[in-house]
Amino acid sequence: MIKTPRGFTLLMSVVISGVLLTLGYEIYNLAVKEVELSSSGRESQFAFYSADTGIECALYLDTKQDAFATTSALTQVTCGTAVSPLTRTTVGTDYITTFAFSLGGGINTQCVDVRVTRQNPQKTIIESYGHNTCVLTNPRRLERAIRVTY
Amino acid sequence: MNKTLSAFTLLETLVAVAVLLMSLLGPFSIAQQSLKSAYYARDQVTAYYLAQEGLEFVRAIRDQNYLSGSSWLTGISTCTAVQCTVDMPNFVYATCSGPCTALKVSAVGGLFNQANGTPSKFVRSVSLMNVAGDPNQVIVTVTVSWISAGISRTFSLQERLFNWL
Repeated sequence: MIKTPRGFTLLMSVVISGVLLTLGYEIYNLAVKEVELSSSGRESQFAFYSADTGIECALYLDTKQDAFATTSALTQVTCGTAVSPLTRTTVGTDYITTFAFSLGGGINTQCVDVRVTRQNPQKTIIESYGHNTCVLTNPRRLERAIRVTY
Repeated sequence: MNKTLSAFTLLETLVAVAVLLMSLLGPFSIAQQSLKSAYYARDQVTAYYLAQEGLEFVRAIRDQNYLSGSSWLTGISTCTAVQCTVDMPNFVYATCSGPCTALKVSAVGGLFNQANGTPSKFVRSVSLMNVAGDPNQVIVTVTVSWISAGISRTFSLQERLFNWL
């Protein structure tokens, strides 16, 4: 009679609430992951189209101004919001031209690095690396790259 | 001793009800908020693919102009500094008089277009912008806007196209 368990209702309610809270927390976790995933997809678009702008610009410079030939006297280009200098190096038989520029679309400024390799005999490789933000320390910074060979 | 214990069951039940109520209300509102952000996540994925389609449309027009031997921005240049709607399945574009109309979802195939189907919540506008001093460069901006769980959202994607052919 005196041994009748006391406080069973309270124990039960604590156990049930524990289960419910865990469930709620997991649902919340799931939603946060979904938003993170879709946001990284969005940021990825910024990076991709920055890289694509780099490709477009390099194609333009090559077909219209022959900027990647060893004989080219061009020192700077205007692809994005400002004038950027061309850096030229020779590695073995490859003649490499690189330039970087930034774009103003979206909330952040996007940065693009373009590297053009002119091989001998005539072959061109354009590699464009687009970033969604120019801030190197940004944890959300990501890169999309495109390579064109012809 | 007996007196203090006699009221315990009632007190215990009251506390238990309070604890259960709290643990029910908490997860309930969390689930509600989570559902809202899940809808937002879903709509955002749709929006950025729609924006991508808008950019690819302008590029497709340019490439078509190259193939037909026309000047690179023939036709689509009417969208310079004004908002346009683009329709990929029907391959047409039109300038917006006033705010652009919402995209429609076709009954067959469920494709986003401007001509027929049930109206969706997404409004997409495409605009070209000239670059000062460079006629061979154009800035293409696509803006997708929609209302997700009562909050209006926009997604804007920008690219530069060059007249490289």
